[in-house]
Order: sequence, then C-alpha cells, then structure tokens
Amino acid sequence: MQAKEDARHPSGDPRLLACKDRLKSAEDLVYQVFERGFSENEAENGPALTRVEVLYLKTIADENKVMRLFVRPFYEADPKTYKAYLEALPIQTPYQDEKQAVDQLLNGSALVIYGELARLYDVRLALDIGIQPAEVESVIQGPQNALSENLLVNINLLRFRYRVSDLVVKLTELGSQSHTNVAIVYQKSTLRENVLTALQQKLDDGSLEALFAAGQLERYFNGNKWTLFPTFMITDRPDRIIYELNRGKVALIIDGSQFALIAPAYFFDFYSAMDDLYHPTWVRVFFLTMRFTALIVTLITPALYVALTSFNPGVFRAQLTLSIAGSRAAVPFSAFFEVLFMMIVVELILEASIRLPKSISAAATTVGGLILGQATTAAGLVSDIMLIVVATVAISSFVVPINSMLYAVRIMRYPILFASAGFGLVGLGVALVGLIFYLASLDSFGEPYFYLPFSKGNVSKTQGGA
Amino acid sequence: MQPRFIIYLFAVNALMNGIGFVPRILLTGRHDGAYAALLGAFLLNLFIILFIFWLLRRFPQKDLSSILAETIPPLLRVPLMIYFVLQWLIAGSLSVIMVAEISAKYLNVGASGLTILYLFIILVLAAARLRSDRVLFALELSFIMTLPLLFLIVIATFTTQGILWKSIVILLGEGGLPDWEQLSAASYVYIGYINILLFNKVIQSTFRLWKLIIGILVIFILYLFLFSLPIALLGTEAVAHYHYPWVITADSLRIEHAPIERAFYPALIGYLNIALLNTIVHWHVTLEFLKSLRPASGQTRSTQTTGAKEKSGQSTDAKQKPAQGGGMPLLPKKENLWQNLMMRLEFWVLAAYGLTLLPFVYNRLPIDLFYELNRWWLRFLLPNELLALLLLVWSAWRTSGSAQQKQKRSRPKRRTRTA
Repeated sequence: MQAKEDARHPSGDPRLLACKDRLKSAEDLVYQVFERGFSENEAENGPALTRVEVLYLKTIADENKVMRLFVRPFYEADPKTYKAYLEALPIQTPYQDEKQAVDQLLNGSALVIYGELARLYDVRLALDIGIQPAEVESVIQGPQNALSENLLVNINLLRFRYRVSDLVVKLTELGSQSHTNVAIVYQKSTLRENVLTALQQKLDDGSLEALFAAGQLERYFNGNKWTLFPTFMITDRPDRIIYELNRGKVALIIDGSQFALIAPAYFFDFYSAMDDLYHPTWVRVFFLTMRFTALIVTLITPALYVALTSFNPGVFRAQLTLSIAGSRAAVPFSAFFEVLFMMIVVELILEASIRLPKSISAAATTVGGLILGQATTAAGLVSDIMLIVVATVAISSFVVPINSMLYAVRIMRYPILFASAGFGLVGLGVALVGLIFYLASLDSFGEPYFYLPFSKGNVSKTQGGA
Repeated sequence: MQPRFIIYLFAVNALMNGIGFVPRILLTGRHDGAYAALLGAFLLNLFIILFIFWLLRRFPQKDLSSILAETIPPLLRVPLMIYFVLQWLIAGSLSVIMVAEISAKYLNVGASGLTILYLFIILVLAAARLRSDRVLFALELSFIMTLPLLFLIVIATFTTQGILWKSIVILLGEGGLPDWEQLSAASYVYIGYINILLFNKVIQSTFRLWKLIIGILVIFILYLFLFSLPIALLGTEAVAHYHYPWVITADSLRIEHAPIERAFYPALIGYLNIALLNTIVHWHVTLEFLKSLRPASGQTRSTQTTGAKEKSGQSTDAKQKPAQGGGMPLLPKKENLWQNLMMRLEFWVLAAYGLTLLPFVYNRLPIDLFYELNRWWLRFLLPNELLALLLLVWSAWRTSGSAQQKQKRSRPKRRTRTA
C-alpha cells in the first residue's frame, strides 16, 4: 500500500506541485516534507510510512505556528489520530483548485497535504515590529505606515498589500564587508527586462564595501561620479513601492534601512505624490499643476529678480518697477549679490534645522527666519521685495513629494541664477533650455529619464497590471 | 516614438516668425500678391508634405541617408548628402545669428552680440549632440514651456486698441501674383517637417494623413494671423520701414492692468527659445547626416574597437557583450584624447565651425548681408523640398521593384489605416 503511494507521488503531491510551480518565482517559498515510519503494528496503525507535505511563504506565514500545529503533532500522534487532528484544526479551507490555493498561500496560509487530505490553514504572520508612520513622504488620506528596518517585515508588508503570484522576491547579499541582506522585488509580468539585467549586472560587480542606506546605491549604480538629479527613487512607503512594481519597476529593499530603492525613475515620477491616487481627478490635476508651478517658481524667480532689476527694468509696468527700485534704494550692492547672500542664508537655516536636535531646531528657524529677516531689511542690506522673493522660492522648493529631488532642484537654482546674472533674460532663457536638454540627456537604467508621460504605451502599462 | 513629435518639428519653423527675415521679405511684397504667395505656398506644401509622408511610410525607421544608401550609388549619394548637410547647416546658422542679433539689440541692450552668439552656440552644440530621441523629448517640453509666452500675443491682440483690420481687407483687394522669392519665403513656415527626413528613424509613421492636413491648415491660419497683425497694427506703409517688423509689433502690444504690461518681453523670450530650438534641431540633423557620411565599415570598426578597449579595462569581453547590445554603456568610457577626437570627429568639425568661423563671419559682415544671404537661401527652399521628394520617389520606385510586390506592400498598409 505505502509502496504504491510512494510510486504514485515520488516527488510530492501533484496538487501541491501545481501551486509550487505557480509560485516558482518566489524565493521565500518553503516546501517541506516530513516522513515517519511505522515498522511494527502495521495492521493497527495504518501504512508503514506516512508523510506530510507543507507549503507556505516564509515571509508571510508564521513558521513557529507551522512547526507547532503540523510538524510536532505529526511525530507525536499516530496516523489516524493525526488525520482527525488536522480536520479538527480551526480556520481551515479545503483545497479546491490551484488558483484558490495560490491566492490563499499569498494571504499567509499554509497548504498541508496528508495522504488524500489537502487543506489550507491560516497561519498568517502579522509582523508589526518597528513599523512607524511614514514621516519623510507623508500623505493625508492613505496608508500611514512606513517600511521598517527589518527586511522580513518589509517583504511581509509588501506581500500582504500586493498578492500576485508572479511577484519575484530575490534575496541576495550586497557589500563585500558588510554583507547586507538585500531583496530584489519585481513583478514578472510587467517588468522591463533591460532594467533588471542592468541592475543585476551592477549588483554582481561587487565593488561596494559596506552598505547602510539606499542613497548609497545611487552613486554606486550611476557609474557617473558627477550627478545631480536622482535617477532612482528612494521611498519608505509600501504603497508607493507596490504602485511602482505594478508599473514594471524593480524595488530593492535593504535590511537595516527604512528606505527602499526603486529603479528606474523618471523625472516626473518625483512630482507625483501618493495622494494623487487617492484624490478626485480635479483635485489631483489642480495640485499637480501647483507642484509644477512651484518647480518653475523655484527655478526662475531668483534669476528673474536679478534679470529684471539689473538688465531689463522695463518689463514690469512702471509702478511696479518704481516700487522695486524704491525698496532697493538703500541696498549698497547689486541685485545678484543680494539674492545670492539671502539664498545662502536660507540654505544655512535649512541645513541647521535638519542637523540640530528637534528641540533646538525650532529656535534656530525662529532666529534665522524672523530676526535675521527683520534685521537685514532694517539695516538696509536687503530689500523688502527681495525677502518676499527668497521666502517664496524657499516655500515653493519644498513642494516636492520626493525628498531627493528637492536637493537637486535647490542646487539647480544657482546655475540659472549665474546665467541670469551674466546675460539677463537671455541667460535665463538659455539656462532653461539648457536644463531641459541636460535632463533629456540623462538615463535611468537605459530608460530615458525625461519625457512627458503622454504616450499611450506607458499609460496602458501603468494600468494594465494588477 | 509617438507621431505627436512631428508637431514639434513643424512648430520649430512655424513659430519662427518673430525672429528672422521671412516677415520682412513677405511684407515688402504686401502690395504684389503676398497673400497669394501665402495661399500658393500652403497648397504647394500641402501637396509636397502629404506626398513625402506617404512615401516615408515605405521606409519605417530609416532616415534619408540610409534610404539613399540602398538605392543610389555612393558616387551620387555622397555629394547629395553633403549638399543637404550644407543646407541644414546654413539654416541653423542663419537662425542662431538672427537670434543673437535680435537679443543684443532688444533684450540685452548694450551687450555684445558676439558674446551672446557664443553663449547660444555653446548651448546649441551641447544640445545637438544628444541622441535623436532625446532631442525630441527635450523639444517637446521646451515647446510646452514656451507656448504660453507666445500665447500672450494672442491675448494682447484682443486687449490692444488701435488695430486696424480694415487695412488687411484693402490689401486683399489689391491682388497681384507672387514671384518665386515670395512663394519660397512663404514656404518657410511649413518647412519644419523636412527634419522628418532624419527623425523618421525614431518616429513611428502610424498616423492618419488627414491629421497632417489639419496640422498644415492650422499653420496656414496661424500664419495668416501672424502675417496680418503687423500690417494691421503698424499700418500698410509703415510696416515696411522696420528691419524686424515682428519685434516692433510685439512691442506695440499692450496687456492692460497686467503686471507685465508689454507683451514684448515674454514674446521675445519665447521667440528666442524657438529660435534656439530651431538651431538645435537643424544642427542635430546636420550632425547626424555628417555621421552617416562616414564609410559604414569604418564606423562600426571604430566603435567596436573603442568598445573593446572600454571592456578590457573592467572585465572580460564575453561578460560585457549583452550590455553593449542593450545600447547603454554601463561602464564609464576610458579613451584617450585622440580616440575621442576621431570618434566624435563630426561633432568637433561642427564645433570648430560654430565656435570660430561663424562668430568671425558674424563679427565682420554687416547684418544686411545676412539679409541678402537669407533671401538667397530662401529661394532654395522649394527646390530642396522637390529634390527630397524626387529622391524619395526614386527610392520608393527602386525598392518596390515589380508591380506584384507593390500590391503586397500596399495591402497591409491600407488595413492599418482603416483599423
């Protein structure tokens, strides 16, 4: 009898193998077979050799529970009792077909096969160690939790939010000294192949010594030492990772870091907040427009101020020109230096408020913002209108959903300012066209970095997933 | 890439009216059939453009030089391509000189035109050496940024008082037949499409031809407006007194109660951008056509050898091959100066021309001479278009071969068009 059984399924039950095959891209899939022999008392205890097969995803199923519920009783009870025991366990569903089984497996169930019996048991692992609300990229309505610093927890978070069978989780190590655990996550059906091959090639290169944070990989992957614009997205939001996976990107999750890296990234991705998905259309359109207006304001306002005060005062209507000139009457240096000094001061205030402990940083901003601003105008070092310009620029530069782009934009203002100081409005125009062409020349993993996502091909790819 | 990028190729010339001599040439002939020239150029170009785009469908993902390489012996092809390269080079040079001149005169009053020319040329050279698809991406965004500035003109037209549209009616009544120069100058607004002869290698031609007709009609109507506005604003006689009638026109437009009262500055910045984009596109085509003149075997060999050298520095050849196939150099290039020079020889030739000869010429020659040069060059526009058309017809005829193959080829095309 038992020989027949074994001959029929030498390498496992066909139902289970079908599920296993569907999930073959998941590296966190665990398949275990336990066997136990009964050499004596065959007539009493049933077949001489019994086996139980268990299949589950270790990132979302509780391995302890599997051990406690299925493995230990298997060795303690006799086969008949064990079968009855399995039937009596709570929260179970019978196996119907492989699709239902795979769905359940992806929801944290374990598939247990014992002879003819095939059941799915809920052994879901709800990890909430170290999960904290997302602070870097916050949304108003929408998921509030960020990734944690534990790799396993993060994959658990992703798997529960995104239950597709072709989600690939590849576990590797990175850093020749630090041996940091890294998971490469992508969805097979939507993936752009060239991105993965490029990423894999970089990872195999192995010239990185120690890895602590996703931002480090940025320079490592780029190949180019001198970069300004982020060609990767760094995020701590599980919902954004899933959104991007669905669009065919690859996520790199690093053990010990709250932040995951998503590649490739396009310029305009950095201006889409996760809120955009959760708002009505017109709200979304309005705020998207606002964000791009803010980008333009940030980039050109300081340069425009210099160009309009020093080169082309005739642009504005006469009253406005006069009031600008009037407020600048006490200022002893040219508009360019005025703008430059104030912008540097604002950068210093920002940097100080990041570096200082939270309790002191409030004081720093008060001193910087209120007192310095008031005093400089009173002393006649800077015009009132200049302060308005600097404040507007600073505020509009904060309207970037992804932090890494904020720095790039902040730095990009300076070349434009210099061009404008040299050539006025002409310099401003040239600098903007140059910036656009510079961005267009960038690559993110072989994909063009900068294009307007009008094209139907990309849109269908975005929505086609799920 | 989507066919929408053709729009920007058209726009690169259609919106160039603010800078350049075309309005001046056309306005001098306002009493002798300038409107007839506009209409004639519209019909003529409609025909040529439709024909060229229809022919280009037979050559998907190919540019002019690779089409000609298959159908015309090299002895004839090389002089032809050199001729085209020169045409494109002159087109770009004229635009950049015009825009430098106008910027120095009206925007940066007192600045030296030469410095501004250098600034522009450096930008154009840096931008023209990008890959063709990247040029189009950047072109698209630059246009979207620039259009609001130009749109101000339309708004300002409605708020400005003292525009006499009646003078247009009077001019229309005069009639008259245009001469060749007028017709060719009026063709300038449509000529932007000719860049498709290069960009056909990256743009898909899967669009319906009636969209093209609508596009050309829009340009026609737009240009009627843009041509008539200076006459209506400055007067039928006074308009001919200006070197840059459009700059003066933009300066006369006023937006009441707006923070920027004169539409002049935004419009001029907009035109400056358009002219720069125009130069970038033209010089990009120049550069790419120059590259195609390199003997084919030599070119591949040179890229392969540098590729191999690049490889050997980092790892074994076998491992790197897929990366090269992917089209993205993953590792930073390490090559010496001479190799670099030879690899990008065409670019350095263009750079040498742009940074030495062009500023020199601009510095020495009076601007009126460029006006004459421009007139002379404009006369070649229509013949050039017809030459390109002829070459395409010839190539299509040569590649289609027997009549049977022709039928086979046209059938699936019809299906895609109706689908």
